[in-house]
Amino acid sequence: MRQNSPLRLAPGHIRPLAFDVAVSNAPPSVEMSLVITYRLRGSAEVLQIPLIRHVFQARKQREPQKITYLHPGGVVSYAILRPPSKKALDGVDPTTRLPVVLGLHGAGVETDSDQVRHAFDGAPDLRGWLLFPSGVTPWSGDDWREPSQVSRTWLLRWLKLVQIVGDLQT
Amino acid sequence: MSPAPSPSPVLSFSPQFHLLGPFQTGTREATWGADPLEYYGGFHSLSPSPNATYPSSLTPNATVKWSTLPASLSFSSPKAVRADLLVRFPDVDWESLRGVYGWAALQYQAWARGSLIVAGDRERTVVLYTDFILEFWVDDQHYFGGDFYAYRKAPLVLHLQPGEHRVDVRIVRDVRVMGGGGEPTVEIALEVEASDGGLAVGDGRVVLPDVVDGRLVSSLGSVSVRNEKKEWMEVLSIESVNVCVHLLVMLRIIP
Repeated sequence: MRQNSPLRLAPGHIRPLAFDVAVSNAPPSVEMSLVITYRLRGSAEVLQIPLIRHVFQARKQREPQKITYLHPGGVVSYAILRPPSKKALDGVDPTTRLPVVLGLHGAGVETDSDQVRHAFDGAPDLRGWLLFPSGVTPWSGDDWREPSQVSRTWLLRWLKLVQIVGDLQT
Repeated sequence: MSPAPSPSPVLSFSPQFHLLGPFQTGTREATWGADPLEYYGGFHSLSPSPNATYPSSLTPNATVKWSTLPASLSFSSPKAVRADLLVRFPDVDWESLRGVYGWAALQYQAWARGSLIVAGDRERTVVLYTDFILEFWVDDQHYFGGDFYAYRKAPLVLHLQPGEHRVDVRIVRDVRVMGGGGEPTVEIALEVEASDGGLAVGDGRVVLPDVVDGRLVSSLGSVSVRNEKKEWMEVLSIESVNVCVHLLVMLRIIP
């Protein structure tokens, strides 16, 4: 099922094409091939670009995992989220709200990397959620001040909105 | 049987660039202009000359002259070429300057001029990457907004006739980005690829969430698309074409 919504591009223009996607009953290793169709303005001929392959990364429930969300600037941004371990939740009332610990990467660091995902492997049972926003780019705009502060405040709001924290805590 | 000769490159850069510098600049000042050569009408209006001198606070006799800068060319295919330029000014006493002024003395700006050469007998659509470059000209077109951090997400699309095309590149050495230790050098790169035109995928990556327990952690994805034609385009749809994997995939473009 798909809905078409033209995205207009001027000559030489580059834009991010954001989309919704849903996958269910997926095996551990999932590949997806995407085809994009387009036309020149004023032409009826529909053209397409070659397949774009993507291999989804399968993670265990308590592993650092990549989440995507809509940045208020209109682009799709992402963060790495590490849920609390089972040991961290021992003896914790399921209705308890655990803190979110923000890991704000340094200059030039790409968040979707082993360096970031495993930065807190030495503290595996922290009683909280670890969240590493990407900040849109590895230089995160302005060192996590003003413009890039928006990234983390919107991300925290989004987490509450989709109740991701609530679901995984039980 | 002799191997077939390699096809001649369609695109190339000049093996030598002309270099003028170094001139002083402050941290993050280059984005505001502050180019001493503007007093002379701007680098773009100047021509290489062995006798021309320009004032600079960084050099031993407070003047700079034109020099040459070799380009290291590499051809990944007949339709793609990369020019790496290592900019350095070993005649400047950087240690002495740093001793008095600190890191600020290691900041400098310069300009380099070379050529992008298009072979053949027809117009070519090319994509130009400008790694670690803030400002540049191609022929008489000025571009402010190169790829200073080398993200490679938004290269320039050009439509070039056969022949030599002048490329002027402003070089900026920023200590905070490039460091304050050792000799202050700058490495920049120009890379150009011929394109078939049409719609292209930006940097080849799709931003998508991970899969946990057989389902996506979140529902949003993104891919960059680039219009390499001279006309406007409309992207109509994005579809998954997997037929051998049993999964439910629903895609909807967010306007």
